[in-house]
Amino acid sequence: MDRIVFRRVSKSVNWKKLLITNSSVIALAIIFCWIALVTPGFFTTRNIINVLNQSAALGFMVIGITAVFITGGIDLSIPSVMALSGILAAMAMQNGAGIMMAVLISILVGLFLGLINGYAIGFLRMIPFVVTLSIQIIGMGICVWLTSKVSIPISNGTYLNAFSGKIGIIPVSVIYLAFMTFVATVLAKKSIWGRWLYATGININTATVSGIPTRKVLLGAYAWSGLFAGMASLLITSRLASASSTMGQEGVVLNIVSSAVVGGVSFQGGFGTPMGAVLGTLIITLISNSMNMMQISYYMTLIVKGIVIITFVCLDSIRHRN
Amino acid sequence: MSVPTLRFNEVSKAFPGVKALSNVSFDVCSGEALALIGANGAGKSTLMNILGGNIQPDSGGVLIEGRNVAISSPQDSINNGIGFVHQEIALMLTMTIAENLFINSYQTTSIGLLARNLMEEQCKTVLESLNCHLSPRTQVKHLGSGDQQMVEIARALLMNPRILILDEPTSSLTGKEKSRLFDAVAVLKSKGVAIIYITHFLDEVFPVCDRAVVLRNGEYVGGDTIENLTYTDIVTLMIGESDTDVYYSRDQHSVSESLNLRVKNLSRSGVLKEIQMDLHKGEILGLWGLLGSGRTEFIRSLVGLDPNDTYDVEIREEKRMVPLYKRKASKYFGYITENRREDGMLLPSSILDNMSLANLRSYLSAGPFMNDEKIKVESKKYIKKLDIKISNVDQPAGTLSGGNQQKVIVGKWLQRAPMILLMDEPTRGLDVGAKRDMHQIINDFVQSGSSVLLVTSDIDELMNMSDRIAVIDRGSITGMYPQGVSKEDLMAAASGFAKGDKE
Amino acid sequence: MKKLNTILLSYGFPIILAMLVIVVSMATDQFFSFSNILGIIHSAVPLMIVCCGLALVIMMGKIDLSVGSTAFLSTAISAVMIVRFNVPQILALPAILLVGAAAGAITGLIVVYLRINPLIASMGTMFIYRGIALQVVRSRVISLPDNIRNFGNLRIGPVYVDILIGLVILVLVYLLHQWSWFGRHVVAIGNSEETARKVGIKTNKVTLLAFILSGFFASLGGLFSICQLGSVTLHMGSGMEFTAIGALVIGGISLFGGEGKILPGVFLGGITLILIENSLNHLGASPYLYPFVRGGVIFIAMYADSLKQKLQPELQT
Repeated sequence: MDRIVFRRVSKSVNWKKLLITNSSVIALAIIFCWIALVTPGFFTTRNIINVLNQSAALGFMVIGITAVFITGGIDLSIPSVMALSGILAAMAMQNGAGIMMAVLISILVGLFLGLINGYAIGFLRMIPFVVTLSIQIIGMGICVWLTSKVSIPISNGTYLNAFSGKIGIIPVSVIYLAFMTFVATVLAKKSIWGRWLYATGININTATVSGIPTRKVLLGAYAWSGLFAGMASLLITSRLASASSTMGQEGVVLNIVSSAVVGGVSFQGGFGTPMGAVLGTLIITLISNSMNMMQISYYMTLIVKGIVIITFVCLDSIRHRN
Repeated sequence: MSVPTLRFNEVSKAFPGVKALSNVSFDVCSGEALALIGANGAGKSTLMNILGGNIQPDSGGVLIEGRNVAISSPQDSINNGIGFVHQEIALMLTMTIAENLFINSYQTTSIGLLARNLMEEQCKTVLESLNCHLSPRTQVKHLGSGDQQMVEIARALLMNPRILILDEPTSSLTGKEKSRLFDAVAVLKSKGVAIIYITHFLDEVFPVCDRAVVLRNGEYVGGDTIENLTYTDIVTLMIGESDTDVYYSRDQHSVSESLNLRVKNLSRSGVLKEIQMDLHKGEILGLWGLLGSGRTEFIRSLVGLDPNDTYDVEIREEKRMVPLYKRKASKYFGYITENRREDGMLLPSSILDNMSLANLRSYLSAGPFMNDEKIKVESKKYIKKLDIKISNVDQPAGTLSGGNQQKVIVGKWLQRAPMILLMDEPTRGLDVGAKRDMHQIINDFVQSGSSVLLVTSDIDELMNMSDRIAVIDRGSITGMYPQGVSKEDLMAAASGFAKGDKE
Repeated sequence: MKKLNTILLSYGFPIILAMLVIVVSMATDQFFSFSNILGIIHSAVPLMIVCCGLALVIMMGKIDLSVGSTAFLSTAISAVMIVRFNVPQILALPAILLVGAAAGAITGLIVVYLRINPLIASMGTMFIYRGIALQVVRSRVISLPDNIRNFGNLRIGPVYVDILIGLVILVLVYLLHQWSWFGRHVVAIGNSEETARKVGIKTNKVTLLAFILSGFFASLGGLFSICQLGSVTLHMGSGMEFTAIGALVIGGISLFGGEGKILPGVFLGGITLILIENSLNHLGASPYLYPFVRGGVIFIAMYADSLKQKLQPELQT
């Protein structure tokens, strides 16, 4: 019995390898075909732009978590960091602050919380998921406390235009995402920080022995993640024209993590690119969007994305073992 | 003559490319402690793995009380009355002594709960038999390493073994704990247990063991009762006649009077004891010590990777010696680690990424951005200089052979041109050609006025390459020898003999 | 000095708990009353039971984030069976535990056989189970028949019945952890999975079993919770994984594995979190402040835990 199973496995090795190494591309292709077949009205310019627009904020957060994933860690605090940044900025605008002030607040709040995560993980040696989960809960607590669960409207026209307006038919958010993807890619590929980051993720011992300040690299990765969560809040609050604590619900984590793993960012550290992560974001947004158009319930998307995470992490770990 | 408890009969074992054991035969009798001695790679661990059922011999076999037995699994080994005490302590720290002893053979009462009283009773009996008066309910994490070692032995004794293997049992023990261990060995002998005592430390052999057997390169090279042996005899057997390998020999060279590094006091409680040493310009200082002597710990502390209690070090800055602060240490040192795969390389990354890793800051072009062209040029220069065989520079480093991987690591540090290069076993696992290349590289490196601290277990390499040799034993420098010291003296010093009385 | 640190780290939370009780009972009148304390324990019972199973996983040095969703899923299925399909309660209620064990088994199988990091595996199943549960209840709150609710708040004299049952369960799990081969093997794996495998422990089997128990107790906790509330809400179990992890860490069960005891650990941890909310309530704080305070307390507990881990080598010598 055993022998038969064995033979079957060894025969299909090539096919398996092919499948594993190109999983994201294959997934994208399958999803595209499926969507084209089952969703009428999917391939309209309007819908495609809509998908891009929807993926912009998520894309920012995924670029953020990519750095953390590359170090081999995880950041579960992104949703509440994002919500808190947005709420504080919105509150500032309510009290008459201008757009510059609001942007500054969003970014600094994100950066600050990211630094707390990074300090606890890099220097205090705490477990990443524990630290970031705590920050998520604490952040949510602050959000709920500040807003009393009431959403804060944003009426600053300049702000709304700056982050959710359009240039021609292209939403500015898409342009921002494209630009930040470019920046992140250049930093990852060309800068010394990128080298440090990947080296730390691949083998932190080798990196430390080679004189790389690995603790600071960890600090930086989480700060980066927080910074991008702060920037994402700009896109989200301007699209909603309000800020509320519900922006930071845990479902957001599902989207972030599933985007990253689909985009080929390894949960075990060392591998993955911002480009891949954004590609993963598009796939996940496509899935949500098309399920939405087919009037499949939101709950079903939870199930699908949960399965997607497990499948892709499994593929990734098989790839690593090979 | 009575039948020996255990007999190895013409045991041979070959691994791809290595003859690990050839026709090894010897006996161990009931109530006797046999010292099994040999340098690294002499075949001791292969032999013990055969006894433990982890490896099957190619030919020959094991006889227990005259019967031929097949040991094909660890369970067989236990069933045949063989007990092991491994070098690394495999205890569960948060659990009690009794729980650890019975970890995979818990006894339960009729309703399925653990029969703690029963187990603790038995545990106490075993511990008492070792003159060890510990409560079975003590958590292991509260024990010192000596007591932990006792618990390990007690675990092995629980099965009432006829044969007990102690593998480097004293490597983590203090003097007082050691004498307790020796007492325990005496107790076991009096009960008729046959003991195989594996050790590097020859000073332990004489008080503890009745006989000694020496292996070298997988062969039985000698053995006798302890009364008929002196430590010089054993050392001579361990080292053997001069090796056939042709070693690289260094050119005429001179070592400068001025210093590059002065270690005034480097201490870490329980690991390093007030280490002092000087390193001259252009000097290769050999550091000789056995496994567990603290040589790797010393280097890691020096570079600032491990914590210290005292870090009093001076470094040359231009013409003067200035105090070195620990957090600045990495600026002056290059460190080639003992274990390439664990902390030497980024195996999945490209050769270029590996070679530029230690020197990234000097390849910056504008702001934080890397000058990839410069990295390529510089790395290629070293690839050529070190004669690294690659198909292209973007190849993953993990696909290279061991020798070429090692050269990539050396290339990484040479690019940085550190004042001092610390090399921990730089030629381990390399073939003769690669070794010679590595020796050439080391020699060329010190010509430029830098220094090398060379740690190696290969005594011939050590004697060939070093200008001076420091001996480290149990965390302190016990001797400093000029070039031309005899192998015997080195071996004796490292095995704890040159020091005279200890503790 | 070192000794003081050790004492603070080991007994810090009981000390803080005691101080909290004293301060709050001095500040308010009704707080330190017998009935209030029983009330606190009563509302902590579901959390404690969830902690029982999760504790086993955490003591292995692993994690199960799916406990909250498992509680939701299992109770949702059974509630739908009772309310929509008129399945007798005697069948529907035990089904909760079956679903819970199955949910735990799935997470466990993913961890053991697909060799996926427990964090990400259980995060995946967390969302999957929640999705299925929401699908099952069709996003509506399901109210249960009165007799179930009455049972949840049944008392003998002043004492709630579920406190008694809860204590019995705690004692049973304590015995499982402290007095059975399984519990000891769980702790062994928490010390070092590698060593555990070397000394002959069947680590896969033990790991799987621990995850099954985690699912089982999560659903049992869910059962207690719906009995108290009388309904299955849509937010049931959301955030419970964090609260449960927090309660365990407060109770001295280390996230690094191998350390801690069910009694008094789970009891103290569960009580502390509920107590803090109850005292905030008595002090008249805004209910919106609760999650923030809870998160802060848990964060500090986890910081202490990792500090203890770091000090460990020094403590040894």
